[in-house]
Amino acid sequence: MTDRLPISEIWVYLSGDPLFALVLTLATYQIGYTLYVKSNRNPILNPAAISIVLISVIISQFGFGDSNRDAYQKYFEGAQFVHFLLGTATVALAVPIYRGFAQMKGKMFPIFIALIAGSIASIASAVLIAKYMNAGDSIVGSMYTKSVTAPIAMGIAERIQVSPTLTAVFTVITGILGAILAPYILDIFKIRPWWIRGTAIGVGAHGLGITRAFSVNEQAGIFASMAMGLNGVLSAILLPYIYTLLHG
Amino acid sequence: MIDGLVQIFLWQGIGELVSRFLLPSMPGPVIGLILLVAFLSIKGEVNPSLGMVADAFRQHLALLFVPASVGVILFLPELKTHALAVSVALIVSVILAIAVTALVLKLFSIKEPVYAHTKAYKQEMKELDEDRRLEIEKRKQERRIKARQKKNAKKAMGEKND
Repeated sequence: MTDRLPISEIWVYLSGDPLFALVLTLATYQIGYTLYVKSNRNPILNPAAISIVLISVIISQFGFGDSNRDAYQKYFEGAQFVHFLLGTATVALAVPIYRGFAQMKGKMFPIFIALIAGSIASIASAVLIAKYMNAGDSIVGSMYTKSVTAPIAMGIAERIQVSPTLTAVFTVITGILGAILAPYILDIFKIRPWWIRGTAIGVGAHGLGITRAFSVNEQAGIFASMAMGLNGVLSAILLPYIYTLLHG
Repeated sequence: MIDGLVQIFLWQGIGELVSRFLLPSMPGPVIGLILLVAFLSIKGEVNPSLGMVADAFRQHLALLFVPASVGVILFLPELKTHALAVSVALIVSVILAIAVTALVLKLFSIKEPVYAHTKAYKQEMKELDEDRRLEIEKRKQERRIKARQKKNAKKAMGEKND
């Protein structure tokens, strides 16, 4: 008969394996996604947010490392395989942009102007408010990138050297807020055409807003995906300049 | 599905190369994205395999930035001290992003219906017309009710005088 390993040793063995971090990431996301679908797609039950909270609690509370920094490093070693796909997902945004182009004949110019105006309003307000309220350098820095869809935002964050972590977290929160608030904001301003509603949601609410837009109206969804991707590209081009302008 | 994935990886690779040697200010994947849009525009269609992979990525985009976001445990004390600033900044900027984008588009779509020939525009106008018709009808109804009330009041007055 073989010796039985005590539970703690199994835990030590498992938590050192990259597979554990991968399974943890996917399983918690799956839990979040199931809750989200069961709740009739309530934006508060954002699958990513649920996953982030669960993982944070698990790795900080269950002896994953000596300190939080240690625990996170260990977790990320395994989870980097998921992280790597961010770049691939960015390239994949080309497809919704292309599909949107086919529908926006003649609307190209207004959409470009609106995207630029919308993202400048979003970046400037976030940065200036955070700065004015003395939120500290790393928080203010991540306010520049948070209005962009996360995969592109992370790429930009690495270029202009602001925290990718805070960027990702702020982007998730922005997505939740956008998905909750968008219908009210658009109704207050009496905006009815679906393509305008979709485009605005794509700029303000990122991925979750888009899935909701698709469930309400096909055209709104297509314009939302297109706007999200295009907004990301425009921001990737403009942000380094805006950053040096406001920060330098 | 695999050939769609391979295609995306290929463009990502090209993007990384261009970013490294020609355009260091832009992230490689964004360059790959732009090149792929150009390629699709020239080709004129999205092959089903690529479409499937792209849709899968778009649907679960949020999963991919979970690993980076978990790093929030390192920033918790900092976020706690600046919680108010962060919430105000995020809420105001979301509202402005959505409102400004929508209002600019609304402004343009009133002034410049350059796309008036498209089917989508005609459908939109039809819906708007329907709304306007309902509004006018509602106003007419209100006027009729008011007129009737006036008449009744007059009648009552007349009876009193009699």
